[in-house]
Amino acid sequence: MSAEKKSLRRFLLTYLFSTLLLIGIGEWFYYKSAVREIYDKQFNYVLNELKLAIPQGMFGLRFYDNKSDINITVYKRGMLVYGKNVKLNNKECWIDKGVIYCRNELPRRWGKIEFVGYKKFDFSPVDNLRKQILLSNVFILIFLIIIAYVLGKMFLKPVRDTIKNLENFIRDATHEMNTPISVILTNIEMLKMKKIESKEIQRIESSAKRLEKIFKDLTFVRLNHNRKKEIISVNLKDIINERVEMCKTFIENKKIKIIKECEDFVVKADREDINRLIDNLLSNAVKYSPQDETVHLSIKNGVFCISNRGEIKNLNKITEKFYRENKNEGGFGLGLYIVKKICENYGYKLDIKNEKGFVKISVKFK
Amino acid sequence: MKRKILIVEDDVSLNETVKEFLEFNGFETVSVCEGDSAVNIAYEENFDVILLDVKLPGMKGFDVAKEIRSFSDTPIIFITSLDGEKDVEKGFLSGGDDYIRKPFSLKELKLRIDAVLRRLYSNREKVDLGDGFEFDVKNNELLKDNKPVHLKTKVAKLLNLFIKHRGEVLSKDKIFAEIYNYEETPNEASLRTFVKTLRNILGNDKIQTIKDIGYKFVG
Repeated sequence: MSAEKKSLRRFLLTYLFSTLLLIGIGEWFYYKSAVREIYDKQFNYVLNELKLAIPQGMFGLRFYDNKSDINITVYKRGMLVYGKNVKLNNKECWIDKGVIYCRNELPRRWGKIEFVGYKKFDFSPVDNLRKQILLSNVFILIFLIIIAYVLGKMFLKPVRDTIKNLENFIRDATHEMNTPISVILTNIEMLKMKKIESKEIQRIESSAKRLEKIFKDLTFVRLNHNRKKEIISVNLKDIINERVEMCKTFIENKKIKIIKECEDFVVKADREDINRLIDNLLSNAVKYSPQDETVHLSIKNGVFCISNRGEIKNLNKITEKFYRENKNEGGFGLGLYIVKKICENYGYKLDIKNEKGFVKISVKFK
Repeated sequence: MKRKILIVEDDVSLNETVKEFLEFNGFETVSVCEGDSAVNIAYEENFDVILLDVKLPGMKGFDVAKEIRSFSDTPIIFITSLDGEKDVEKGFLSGGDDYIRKPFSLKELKLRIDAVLRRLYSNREKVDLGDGFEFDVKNNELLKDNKPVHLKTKVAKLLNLFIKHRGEVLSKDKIFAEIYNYEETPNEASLRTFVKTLRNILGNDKIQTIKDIGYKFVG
């Protein structure tokens, strides 16, 4: 499911980014030309008003009844004769500090007369334009997101269906394994209770236990998120003893010696989680240790430590889901991933390192 | 007297294994494979504990539990699978007392059954009845100075019922429903005899008669 969400998000982002970029470029040009237009309009207005006003003030160079809303300044041969002094420019129209200036020259025999009309530039049309663009952008964005979402869902539907089918299949498969495994394990228990023991039964038992472990790991990875946790006090020492007892045949087959130095230590956790944690660490240690070697187990001051001879080449990737360093050994590459998940869940500190030819894994329960 | 357990599990092999295990451990068992027959048999006979698989053909385990709850308060332990955990809450809501996840070990099953039974008697292994009398919860026996006292089946059932509902008034109907099976005809005169027997053993003041209603155990 998360893979599906990821691809949906990626699709959405790419789509939105490219479309917005395109629309943005278009809008930029539109904005530029619209602003240009607003300027031109105001320039033209000032110029027209100036031209209209000129005949009035022609003779006295005074504009006593200037009814227009523009201000006028007049220069005669470069000398100020009317109005406020303005900074001249050799263009016909220009803008300076938010004020529009327009100039009209009348060449005369005694020298040129320059009329300059000026007016504060009215920014409100530009503001309005910006507001309009912003508003339409919001609508476009909403529209785009909806379209992208619908498209994404449409494109991803086949993928989603496949994933769903696969999930259902795995769920049904694990579910169907439930009862047969129960029957095998309970009946082995019955045989032991009746003191019927033989090598064959022992082999069946160890294989059934392995099957059970694989089954539990699989269900853990697939269903951990909606499993109801039953938080109780568990003594790690008891669990370790129990788990070692469970793996006995496996350990004996590899001729591995287990050295335990365990103190009593009680943690509050779901029993099944602690079982998974210890089980995986223990079976990994036994699995990856060479034959005729020793596996050390200890609990001291709330730190569980397990070490076996060997080396992990890629320490960074070792806790990743489905990562398997040694493809010769069986497995799914889930063991340490599960351990990591449980540690994260409860806030235990997990430490994995190579030390003098040993792999040392410690879990700090706190 | 042996504790009686109803096993409701549709997988025949598992059903048989659990049955055999519980009988091996001194329980009396009845096993069925279907939901509706479970409801019927729980109606006809009295059980101490019901083991109920959640996934049954036909009727769902939770519905079976609900139906059983409508006429009986026998403890129910659900057998669920690891992947049905969301259902656990639903299970408790429908009247379950505990649950056990498949695949389980028989040892664990036994522990859960014992725990549920103990809970019926306020979590005690033995209930002190005074004058050297004790009731052993695990074996469902009356002890006098640690020696078992023999009781007839119906009297033992009555005592068991009284201890479970200490200090509560028990109506005659309730007592009849608990100590008689479906096919037996309840009889007020014999109930009086059973009560008298118990009074003779434990002392007259232990069982009060509530006129026209029933009895109250105050031991």
